[in-house]
Amino acid sequence: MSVIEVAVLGFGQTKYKTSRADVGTPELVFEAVSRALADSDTELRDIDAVVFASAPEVFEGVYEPERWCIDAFGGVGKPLIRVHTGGATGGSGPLAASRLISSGMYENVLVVGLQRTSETADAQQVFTTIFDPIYEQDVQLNVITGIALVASRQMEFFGLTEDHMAAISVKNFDNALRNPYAHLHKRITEQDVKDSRQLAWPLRLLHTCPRSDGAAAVVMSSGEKARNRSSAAWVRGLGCAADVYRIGDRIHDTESDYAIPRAQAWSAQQAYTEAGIIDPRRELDVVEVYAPFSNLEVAYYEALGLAPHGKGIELVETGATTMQGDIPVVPSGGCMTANPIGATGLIRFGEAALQVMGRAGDHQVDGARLALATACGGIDQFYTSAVLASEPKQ
Amino acid sequence: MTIPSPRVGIAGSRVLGPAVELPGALDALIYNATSAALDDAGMSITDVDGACMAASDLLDGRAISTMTLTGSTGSFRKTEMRVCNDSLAAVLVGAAEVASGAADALIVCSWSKLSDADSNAVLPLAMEPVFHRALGFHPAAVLDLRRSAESGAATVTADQSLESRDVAVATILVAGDSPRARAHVIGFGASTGPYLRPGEPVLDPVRAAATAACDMAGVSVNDLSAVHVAGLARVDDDALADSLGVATGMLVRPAEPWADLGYAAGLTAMCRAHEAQTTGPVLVVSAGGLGYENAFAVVMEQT
Amino acid sequence: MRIPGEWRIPYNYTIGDSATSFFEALRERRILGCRCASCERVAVPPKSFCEHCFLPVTELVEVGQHGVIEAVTVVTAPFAGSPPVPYAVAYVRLEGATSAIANYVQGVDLSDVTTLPAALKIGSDVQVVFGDEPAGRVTDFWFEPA
Repeated sequence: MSVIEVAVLGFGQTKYKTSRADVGTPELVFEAVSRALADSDTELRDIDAVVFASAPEVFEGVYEPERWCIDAFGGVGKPLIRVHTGGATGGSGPLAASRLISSGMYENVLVVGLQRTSETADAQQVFTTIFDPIYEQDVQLNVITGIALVASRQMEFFGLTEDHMAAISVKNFDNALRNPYAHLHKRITEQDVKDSRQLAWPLRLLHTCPRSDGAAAVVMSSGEKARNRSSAAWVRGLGCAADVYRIGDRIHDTESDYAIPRAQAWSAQQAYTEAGIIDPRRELDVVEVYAPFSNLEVAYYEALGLAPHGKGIELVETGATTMQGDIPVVPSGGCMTANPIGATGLIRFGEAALQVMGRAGDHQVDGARLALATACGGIDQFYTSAVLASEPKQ
Repeated sequence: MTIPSPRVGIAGSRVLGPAVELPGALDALIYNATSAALDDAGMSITDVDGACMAASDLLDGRAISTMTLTGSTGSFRKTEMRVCNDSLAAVLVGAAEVASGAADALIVCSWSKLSDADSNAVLPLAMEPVFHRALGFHPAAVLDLRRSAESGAATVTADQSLESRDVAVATILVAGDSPRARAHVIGFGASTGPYLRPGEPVLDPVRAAATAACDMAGVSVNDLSAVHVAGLARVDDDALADSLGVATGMLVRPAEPWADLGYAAGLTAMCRAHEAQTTGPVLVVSAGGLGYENAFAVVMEQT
Repeated sequence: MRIPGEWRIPYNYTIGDSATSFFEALRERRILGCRCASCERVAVPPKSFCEHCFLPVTELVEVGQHGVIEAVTVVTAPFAGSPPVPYAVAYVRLEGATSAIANYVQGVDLSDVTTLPAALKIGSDVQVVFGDEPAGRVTDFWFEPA
């Protein structure tokens, strides 16, 4: 079967903030979409279909928010599909768009990511309802306590300490200072992290992510269109994997320790295989990982094959994932410095595209030619991975 | 470069319901549908690469409803894609996964368990909160306002309410050249109308979706053997047939036209069309949204 | 067995600067739209971009309080939280506006919905009527036959 190549032509994003009080929700989307169209030198009339990525609509408080926003992406008269895989939504968007293009159904697809987390009084109230109403909702499991359970096991089995977690927070906050769109712009020290408010042991406030309002958009196209462009990011490999739902079912499975997310490993391996990557640590130039918690970033080093099993902390200790290291991770500052949930995975994807196009501005990794972007949804449950490159496959 | 039209096979399918109440928990209901579809295809879970589903969090009563359903949809350790549109959108995206070679076989599934929910509580939330929802008028008036603008006359919103139903539906998509294919989906179309704002003819999105699906399939509406209609209860046969350019007698409506199948309506109609074994190309159309503005269509034919 | 459940999630919807101007003007019994500098369309209610030109819009303009009905329906089906039936909802294009805005039409006899009053014909003139104490909400005003 002849498979059509897919490339990213451009990316647009809003400034992320706790609340963008100056704009209504469609207006927020317009900001990102108009920037993506300008960045990709594409006219709305050239867009054949729109994939809208937003996670639980209880955030916006509007059922089917893609309809509400339709004028903000010129969707009237076009196919419009909304994807939602929880936090992985922003990764599922470009994944769906890639399939729509490579199947030959559509040539130019706009992917729009949106989340407005400021509309509800308490996002954790929303998150509590993601749990099974029959067995789990009543025990106040939420995203923070769920990830704290992961951290406790990383500490027990893989040597993770508060020092490692603090180093990740400092690295990501430092990176965000070079990204004008990041939500949090402040210089922090490891001591600040350790002194920050404890949320659920061992997680503290500065190990986690903010709640952000924001939107992002990418324009994707067939390889044939992209070949005429001076800059494009080529989709070399994609992966996607789901784990079982119940955390308790994952803790003592033979393949699972509930410390290193196995579904992230499955998903990344698919993308690497498709991209022909054998040694991700050596071959990748930059990684935009979806890690809203500092401990998760360390776990992902292992799941993504950047470090051997149980050795993720060594990448922290050697500084390999800082901007000066050999495999910078989240030069944008990542989820820990801006997290508009359903858009977050699309931001990782767009940032990875900017890196391989050499257009990432002050947080550009010199000479980046091969990048990985991921997204994660549920409690460590849904994962997407995308390998983007400066050049098409030979 | 000439790109062959995407074409995928249907290896098996199963519809459970619609019924006023299908007993059992949501995950059991979905498992019953996906496993029966695999049985129908003569396949096992190890033969499929993932699942693509259409589901609504608000109607399922869980903020990320698919989280709790990974085991039953069949996506564990496989790919999972989920759309929040009528399930023909899941067919479209799932078919793209198969036609692009990313998957050899895929479960496409959807469900709606309104015996667990109150869909009337969700309808007003489809109105944006600032200028429309605050007025508090009946959500069904959105369609009648569009009709009014189209006809140039006042309309009456004497809504016949939809009837809540439980349904779970699954189909197995395989590559177009797979020997397992018992039918093929050969055309895909979708279009979207304006939000709330009246002005465009009500059935424009449905017609545009149907036209796109027929064009991709390379068939004319004159070649169609039947048109299976999902939902669209408030549009009468004549208006729909006229818009699509087919004879009224070509339309196949659900046995219970006022049954509310939620996002599962389109895939249910597609599976019914498959079960009908009609010779020749068959069009399936669906439309979501208060004004039927989010339309999808597929063209299929028996092998 | 079934376990009862209910979501009660409060919201504070961010409406943005354009809609804020609209609601502030309602308190002064004025209705605002925005004019696109490129196509000169006037959208009511206003928004920060023009979907036709796909450009930002900043100019707010006041529109007239007379207009014509573009679409209207008389609702006879009751719905939780809705006004008592029957009631009429219309989209009205106000003087100076390109787009139409939704609101109720009061002051028409809806006692017999089989013969709708002539005042509800498409193209009929209506005027904006404000309540006694506009509070900056869309329900501050409604339409009546002119």
